[in-house]
Amino acid sequence: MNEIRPLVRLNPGEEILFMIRRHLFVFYARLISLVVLFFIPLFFAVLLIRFFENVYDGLSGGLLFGFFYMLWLIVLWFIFFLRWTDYYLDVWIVTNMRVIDIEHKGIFNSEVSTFRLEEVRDVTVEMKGVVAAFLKFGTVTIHTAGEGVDFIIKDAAHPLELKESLLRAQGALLEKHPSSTV
Amino acid sequence: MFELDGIASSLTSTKALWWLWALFAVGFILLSAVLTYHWRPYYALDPHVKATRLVHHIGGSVLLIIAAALLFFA
Repeated sequence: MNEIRPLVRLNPGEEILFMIRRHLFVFYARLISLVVLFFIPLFFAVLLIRFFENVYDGLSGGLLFGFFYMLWLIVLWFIFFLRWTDYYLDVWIVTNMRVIDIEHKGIFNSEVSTFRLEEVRDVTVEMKGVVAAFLKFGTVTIHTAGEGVDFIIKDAAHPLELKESLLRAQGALLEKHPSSTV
Repeated sequence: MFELDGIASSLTSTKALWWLWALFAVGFILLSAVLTYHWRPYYALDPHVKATRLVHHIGGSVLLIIAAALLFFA
């Protein structure tokens, strides 16, 4: 656990209860553009092969098309992993003491914010649209005792279960330390 | 005009294609190394991140090798 210290410092006695991410549907929806870009050169294969045969005298147009297509795939492969990592590393970690929100903005910028479970005043779940209702994802807003500070996780998977688990963890903490209410 | 023809012919030579391949290879390796170092703190948090980086490296390397083979036989 030493390696994660710069990112998340767990206090003595603190345990990770669960981690929440956005619903996978959101990730898949962002991949549609990549799938389109994957197929576009194939639709123009015949034209491109002729073009390469004209431009590169004496070289096989088909093999050159394959070469350029591989380079194209390397670019798409990179974008795919950037998107996957962005999806996967945006996470909420709920411990038995607090909630840690790790959010990535771009590749190198990340924001880590935390709030203690005792500070939770109310949890609101909003599921908009047929797809969200059917696949069970939505926006969870946690109202805290701080000055108008709300924590929002958009497109969270299983938001109702998340709400219940959060309130259960808060209840367990308050039972253990009744004096810690804000 | 003569110079433009010279530039065009050098850009369309096999050597230029190998330079392009090298550019992609170096770019891929450098960017992967930087990102791997940057995301190191997450490896302990979740082993899936490390596994994904490995898949990324292997996939990218395979694509680079296939590209080199296609250019070699072209």
